[in-house]
Amino acid sequence: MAIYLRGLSYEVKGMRDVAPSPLVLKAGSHVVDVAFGAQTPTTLNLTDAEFGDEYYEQLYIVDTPAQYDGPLKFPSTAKGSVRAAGKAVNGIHAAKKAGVPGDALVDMLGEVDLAMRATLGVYEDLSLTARNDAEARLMLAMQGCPANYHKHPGVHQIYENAESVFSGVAPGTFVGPDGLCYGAPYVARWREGISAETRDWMSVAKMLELISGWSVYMGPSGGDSGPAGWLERTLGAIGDMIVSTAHAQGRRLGGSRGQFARRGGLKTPKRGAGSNPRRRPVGRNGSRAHTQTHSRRPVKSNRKIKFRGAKFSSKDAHNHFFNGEGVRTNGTFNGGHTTTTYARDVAASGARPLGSAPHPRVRGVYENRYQPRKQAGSQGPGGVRMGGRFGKAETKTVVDTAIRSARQVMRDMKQALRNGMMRPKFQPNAPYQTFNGYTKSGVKIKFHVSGHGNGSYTVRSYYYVF
Amino acid sequence: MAMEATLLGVIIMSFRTEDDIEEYAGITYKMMAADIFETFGRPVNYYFNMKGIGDGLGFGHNGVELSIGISILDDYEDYTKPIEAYGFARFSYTWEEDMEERMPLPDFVLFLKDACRVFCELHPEETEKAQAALAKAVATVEKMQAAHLEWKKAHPEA
Repeated sequence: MAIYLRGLSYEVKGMRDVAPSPLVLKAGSHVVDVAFGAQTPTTLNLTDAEFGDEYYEQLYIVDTPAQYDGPLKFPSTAKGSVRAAGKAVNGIHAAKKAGVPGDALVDMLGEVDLAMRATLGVYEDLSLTARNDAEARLMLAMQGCPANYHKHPGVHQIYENAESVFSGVAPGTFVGPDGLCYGAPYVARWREGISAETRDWMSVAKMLELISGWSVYMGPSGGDSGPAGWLERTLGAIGDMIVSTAHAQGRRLGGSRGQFARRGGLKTPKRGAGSNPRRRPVGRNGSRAHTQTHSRRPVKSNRKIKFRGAKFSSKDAHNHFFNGEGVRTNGTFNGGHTTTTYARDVAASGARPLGSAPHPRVRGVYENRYQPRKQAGSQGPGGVRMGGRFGKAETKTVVDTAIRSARQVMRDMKQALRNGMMRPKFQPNAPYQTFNGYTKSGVKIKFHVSGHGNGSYTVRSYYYVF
Repeated sequence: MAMEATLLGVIIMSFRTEDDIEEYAGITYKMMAADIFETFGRPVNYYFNMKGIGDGLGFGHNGVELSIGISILDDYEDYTKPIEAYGFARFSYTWEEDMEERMPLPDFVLFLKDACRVFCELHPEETEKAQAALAKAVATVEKMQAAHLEWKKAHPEA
């Protein structure tokens, strides 16, 4: 079977003498995602002309078949998971040395991150109220406190801003797993009384932070900035740990490890990678990079779509569809209509999945039902704390980009948009409107479009409907 | 779809597919309310929606939201007013911060009854079950309306 790799411009072993040349994908051949091994049969002859635009992807033939060995699984104890993750990360480090491309490394790292959080039951962003035992232990360990420390004699509740306490601004205090602030005036907790188990949880926190910081660590050039033995060294010295909290200020700039300081409570390096505040910040955590890579959109997806003089700007809508717009305080998450972003958002917000139904005709499209979970900081009438409670139920249509690729989704969108604007419901002069469109194969997509006059429109949101 | 406008201006339609519901909703209701109305066409969503209203919360489909009661507090992030102060159902899109539609609760009851009528025309075999679900939802909304009226009486200036 001939296998094609997408979008990779590197040399593969055994291919060094072959000059790379653009290929045409023939119908019936298979496209394989290197990182995940998902196979997609090509149904059309894909050429440059097919997309109506020049694009810069190079295709290379590879003779080593990629195989997907299933998701990573780690032991569910703190110690075991750190050890297994360490091994995996060392493996990735070896892969990097062997010349595996950065995209694939980020994918692998995302997988390690996901596996680690999944086995421990730890959510992506720690909120200030622990949602399970593992998270409570991790939260306390991050602050250098043993488990149940908030119940020790002499420790009492104080009234400080939990977020500032948690981010290390008020170091004499700590945040308990219930989200309340505690103070321990006469117990020396920083260096004493840390059990072996707490130490393991500290390793977990450190490991998660390391995995998140990897993309920064490699530097934009992907050079040899990752020194050997970094894992042992950093795990050995457990200092202050930084894990973003759900509502404290997130990590804006990369490269910070070590003390809390300066801007936004985080230290930024003076020179080198991450030192320029005007530079676009790097992806903040591993699984985000993971999802972005998985649901990667074709290049130049922000081109205006033109039909009969009407121009549709769809950049924001694609962003809404493929990346999502994050979790709100009330627990709902906007956009993110792929299975990976959905899983990410559910994990990050601790939402309760209610069910999932496949599309009756289209493979890879599902309608998921879930109940969002209100995040720490949510209030109810009269200022009652509502964090952790469930809100109104929602549905979201998602597409598995391993089955129906991102390129196919965008092609569907284009076809359906063209169809939708030719149906009688479409109003050329409406400032804002909703309409449905069908692709050539009868897949229904719903559009929310704002019009600016002069034949120019912005697609605000689109998604598959059943 | 057979459709005719009578002298009274009432639209008479027969519903054979969910696209008919879409068209009817577009003619009858405002944009966001119509988007919500369409979702009542599929049985699984019909019961999902009615349950959400029966619970006094509302529901959302792909970011097209219907909020009642306590969910409105979240939408506005204003927790100073009590729930009863909001005598309407709120339609919104999550990706548009500055757009919303409001429907007074008595109108909303009619909206639900209309949704039930249309649903039963499309799925006559589900009539009994659908009406039971409707009754629960309407009971909740009417209770909310009663509480709102009482609150209004106590706060005539608001």
